[in-house]
Amino acid sequence: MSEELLREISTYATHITQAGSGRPVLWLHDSIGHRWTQGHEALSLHCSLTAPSLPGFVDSAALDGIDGPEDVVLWLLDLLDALTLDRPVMLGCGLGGWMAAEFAVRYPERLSRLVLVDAYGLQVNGALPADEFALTPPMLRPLLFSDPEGPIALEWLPNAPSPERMERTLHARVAAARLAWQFPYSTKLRGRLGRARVPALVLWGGRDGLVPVAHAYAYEKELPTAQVVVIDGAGHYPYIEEPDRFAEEVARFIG
Amino acid sequence: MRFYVFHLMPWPYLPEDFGQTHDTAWVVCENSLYDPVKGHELYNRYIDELAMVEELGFDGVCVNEHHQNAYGLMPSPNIIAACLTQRTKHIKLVILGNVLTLYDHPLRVAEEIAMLDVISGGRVISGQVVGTGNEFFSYNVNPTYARERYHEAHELILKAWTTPGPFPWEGKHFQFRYVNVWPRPLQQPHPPVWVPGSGSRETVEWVAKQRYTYMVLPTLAPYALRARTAEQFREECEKNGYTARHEQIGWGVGIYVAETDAQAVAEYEPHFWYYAKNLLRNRDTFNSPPGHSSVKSVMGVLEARRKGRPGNFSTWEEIQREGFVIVGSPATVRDRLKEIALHTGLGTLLPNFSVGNQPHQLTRKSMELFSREVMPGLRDINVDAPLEAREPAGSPV
Repeated sequence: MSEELLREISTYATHITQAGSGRPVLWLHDSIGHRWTQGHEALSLHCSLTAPSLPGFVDSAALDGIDGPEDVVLWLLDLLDALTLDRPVMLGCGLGGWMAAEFAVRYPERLSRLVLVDAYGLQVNGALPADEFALTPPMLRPLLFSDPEGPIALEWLPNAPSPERMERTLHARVAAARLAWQFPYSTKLRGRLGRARVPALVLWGGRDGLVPVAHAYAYEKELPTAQVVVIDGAGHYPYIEEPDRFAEEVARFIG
Repeated sequence: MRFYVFHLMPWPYLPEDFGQTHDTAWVVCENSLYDPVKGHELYNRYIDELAMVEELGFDGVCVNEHHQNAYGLMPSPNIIAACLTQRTKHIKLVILGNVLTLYDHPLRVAEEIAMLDVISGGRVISGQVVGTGNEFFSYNVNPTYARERYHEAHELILKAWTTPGPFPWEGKHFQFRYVNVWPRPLQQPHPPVWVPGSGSRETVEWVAKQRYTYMVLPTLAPYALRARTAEQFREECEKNGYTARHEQIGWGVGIYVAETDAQAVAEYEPHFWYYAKNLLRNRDTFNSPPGHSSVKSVMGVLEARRKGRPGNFSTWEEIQREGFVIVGSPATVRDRLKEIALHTGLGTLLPNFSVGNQPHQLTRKSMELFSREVMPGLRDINVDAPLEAREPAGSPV
């Protein structure tokens, strides 16, 4: 059973979902925004899971002050303090993975483990991520899901968001574009990854057509201690398409 | 009423099956479809069509700015305006760029518009534009900053024109230690400012507050929706303590005039469909990138569309019934424009005579008929009293 909170973290309205008990895990969401998935549910059986919305995702009119990853990193410091999270595992997916990596190169001592899932963040020659803001849902689904016209894909990325979900989806797109417009990486991150002295798991969907799996190996190469696990049957969201396998891999890694 | 001929400089040579093979004429529409040899002829033909405007008695021409597309081939409207300073002597040159959000050097805009104003003898009207969503993809400008970049660039340009330099500018998006634009514009305090819009409430409110001219854009939208925007603009002017001048309400619209109604439709329709089905062909994502308009505004537009816009315009009857364009004999076009003018209060008409792949002879004929048989009957409608001061319309008060 998960619990919902609304907190203000350094001026940004933040939705926080918490579930489970045990080792603290902080989950940073992808550009789809703050949504509870089967992967969250499955992982919360193994740990104390905290999933916050990233700044601006609740209200994109309040994005002032968020201009790049550094701003999110400082916000994350405030978040750890506000929630008294002591050396959590930081798990980031896609856009959130990039933010987690940016945090880890600056404050590795504040983390016990790092998990990057189909993460943005790196410039990899010949493997530019697809432009999620240029492609329509029917064009994106084959890049994001192993079964692009199956019920999971259509639930998570319908051709048009349902009227109830419309406003939240629009805010999420604005907040994501603020950070990830056209080139979702920082050119300096790769050279800084050696500073992230914290055990890392790099988890990737083998059929991710948005962020090519070459990015997983680039992270593995530059992080001091990293292992790559590729989940063959999944696209960009292994926690949606293969939630049990995903939770099992993460649980094994965090012990 | 005053008349400023609007031109898009469209690319008329897209392949027959373009609609089946492409989902957009913008951003990623491959530029191998552009043929520079045909392009050479075309630019010069289009410049001729704009230069003709003066001898036909119109008040001005409008050039505009779009990037990486087949819809409009003026990535630099300033270059076309520069050509026209040499081809015309009296008419206004309305430059609709510049897209202020796209440039990291708004001073370049201030310089070029001032150059054109000085060269033309004070004939420039400075359009100041946020830009379509497409341009943010083509120029890699983060659209979540669109509005604040626009407003900061606008303030900087106006200040560069009106405040003695050098002075420093320390903004969020732009920093210049030395703002000191040479040349200064000829029109004092600065060239009039016009702002186009497609109904976004934020733009309407801001333009009314600034007392600029608001142009209801000619992009395909039903008459009722556009008339509502003009009405909102007039209400906003009242809220700001003044009554809108007629010239502050600009109205872009596709027009075609021929000898009879039937002939006009027969001659115009195929070229209209080329425009509507090929040049306007686009992805929703390119049209409205995140943050280009506020979420509130996007929700409003979606709602208005659900109510007001036909899902897909597929028949000519629908186009005519909804008033997307005005096509007919001189009497038909004159009567319809008179009706629209009296309904909306517009004093600035921006007719676009060159649609899609319409050949030059038809464009020329239509403009001549309009000038001879339509314009005279409309000149005396919605005329403003002269402004008291020497300040041009569009000066901030």
